[in-house]
Amino acid sequence: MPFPNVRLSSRPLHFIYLCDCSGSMAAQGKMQALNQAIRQSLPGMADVARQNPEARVLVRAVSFADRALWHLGEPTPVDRLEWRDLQAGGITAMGEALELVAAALQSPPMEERALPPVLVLISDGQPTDDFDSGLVALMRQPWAQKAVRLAIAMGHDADLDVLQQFIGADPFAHLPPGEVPGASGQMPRGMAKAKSPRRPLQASNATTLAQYIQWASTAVVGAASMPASRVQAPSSTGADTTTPAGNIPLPDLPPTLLDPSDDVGPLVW
Amino acid sequence: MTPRWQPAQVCSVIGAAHRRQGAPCQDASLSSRLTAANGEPVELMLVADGHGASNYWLSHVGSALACRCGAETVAAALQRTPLQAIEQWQQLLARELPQQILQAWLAAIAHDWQQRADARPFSPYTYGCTLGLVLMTPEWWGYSGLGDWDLVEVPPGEPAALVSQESELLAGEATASLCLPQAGSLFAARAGLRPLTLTTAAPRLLLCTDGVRKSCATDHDFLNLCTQVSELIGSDALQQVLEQITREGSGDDVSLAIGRPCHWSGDVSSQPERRKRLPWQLGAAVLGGSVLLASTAWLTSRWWRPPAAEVAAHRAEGERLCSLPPALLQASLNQRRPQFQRLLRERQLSAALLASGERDPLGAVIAASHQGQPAPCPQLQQALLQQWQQARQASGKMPPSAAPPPR
Repeated sequence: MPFPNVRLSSRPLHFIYLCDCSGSMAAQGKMQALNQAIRQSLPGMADVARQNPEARVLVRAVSFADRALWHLGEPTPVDRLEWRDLQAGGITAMGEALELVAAALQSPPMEERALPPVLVLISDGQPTDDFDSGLVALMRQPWAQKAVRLAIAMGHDADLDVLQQFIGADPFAHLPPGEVPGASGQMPRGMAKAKSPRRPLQASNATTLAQYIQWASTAVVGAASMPASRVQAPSSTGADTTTPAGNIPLPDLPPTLLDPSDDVGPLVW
Repeated sequence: MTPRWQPAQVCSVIGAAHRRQGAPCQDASLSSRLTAANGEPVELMLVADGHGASNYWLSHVGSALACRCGAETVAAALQRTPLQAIEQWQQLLARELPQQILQAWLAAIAHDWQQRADARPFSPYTYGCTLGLVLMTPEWWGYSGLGDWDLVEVPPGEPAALVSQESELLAGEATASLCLPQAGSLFAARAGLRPLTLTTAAPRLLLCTDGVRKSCATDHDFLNLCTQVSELIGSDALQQVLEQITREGSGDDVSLAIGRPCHWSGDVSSQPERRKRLPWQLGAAVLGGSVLLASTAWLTSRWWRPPAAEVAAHRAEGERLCSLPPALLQASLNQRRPQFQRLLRERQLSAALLASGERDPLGAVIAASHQGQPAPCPQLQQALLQQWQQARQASGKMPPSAAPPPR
């Protein structure tokens, strides 16, 4: 029996790095560590993409220093991606980077059937432009609200408040009785300030950075590739939502990184 | 009583991703032929989709129980509420039935949990799922439910259209669910009822879980898929289509339920391979029965006379039509072109229309013309003849009683 004459399609999963390329990233090998971490993560990401053929993983990257620019502007299938090194120099136009991503998350060009995108913001300092306006512009986009937003702080000078604003509110504060946390489901309710990948991940050396990038590009991509439906009441009813709007349940961090604020290896940054 | 709808065709297929993972299919679907209190046949179809996150690890059980509880609740409501009480059914679909279905589902999942002897505390979230249902009666069809299912109608000769979808306000892969405390109040936004008349050709209806729509490149492709799938005959064909949809699309579990009116030419109750093996004796019996039925209909159309009130109503309508300007008369009859065509296909329909003269006087006038009764005036006679000629061109037939007006 011939199949109906319609187009079936796997669902695109847009993975976007937002990378701080300010002058401070040139110090202590941070820029080299970031380039290396991203480059090394690509084979793992490609493996995850192959294991989930219903999702088309497409990678892009924004660099921000004096201005925000698309470092990799064309959504590139991960198995065809060759990473071109980022270069450091300038200040920190993080707000402009968010505006750039906001434009990319409009519909169109975002596809109707896209999976929730994954946005990873990596920074070692504080924004030097209007971050608040950039964040407002970003979160005005429905796809940004649906996105998995992660943040990695490189070193101890990063503005964790800003990175937390990018990620969103702590999800555990809103769970009703009976609704287990989104990660492994093993954490008991009532743990105040539980460790969560929805807090900025603090990388103080190249090893930790590489592990976080690896986790974001494999475990998170795997979770986002086959998004399991979950419960949420429509906001128009006035009912409380049971899970944070826009985020899907994330996998646990690797055992060596249970506490995002812990360090693994020597302190460098 | 002749049913207006064929038995609904339903199918659920495990998603390609779940198959790889060794996970169960979390979709469920159910088709049920029910009987109203007055004996009229009613078709019901349901789909349910269990949530996939790890928290909802018994959602495949929840979705199956949701379909079962939905069917049982609707069956009970049919015994209490007349089908003709349309406004009451609108309220039922939006408010009372959801609460009853929800209570039944909660009781069912609680019972299931007890059987498992699991030391963990019971939570409805474990069984969380969506639920959509469509009820098809001789005089209307209605729908209700909550969650991210989609309902599409395919009217005859018209493009498919979305009847109901979940609000875009929800984020990502989130959806409303039976396990929510406020679930009972969430059905209203996804409930509706569409009356049918003798002149309204009932549409084909497709109810599906979100995996189908998400597998299509665009909504345009989704609606095209619905149009083409609605013409499929046989459960094997539907299953093959669904397997390809999940394999080449979203990878999600997929369920599809199809409701077809009886006037649709396809017959989902017969498999092509079964037709080929039909023994000649049975074929002769079917042929003989058809001849007998056709004869009865012809005799009925000739000798049966409608009640006086109905006759008076359609005569009054005829006189009213005669008083209209030609353009208005033409416009009035143009709106009933599907009725003219249907009368050419289903001769026995004219008796039913004549019997409904008070409710549909124009239909009765057309039916009277179909039976050869002259119109009250030459202008109306000529206009009716033109409509029959046009219907003949569309369908290749002419009513035997239609004849050019005497010169």
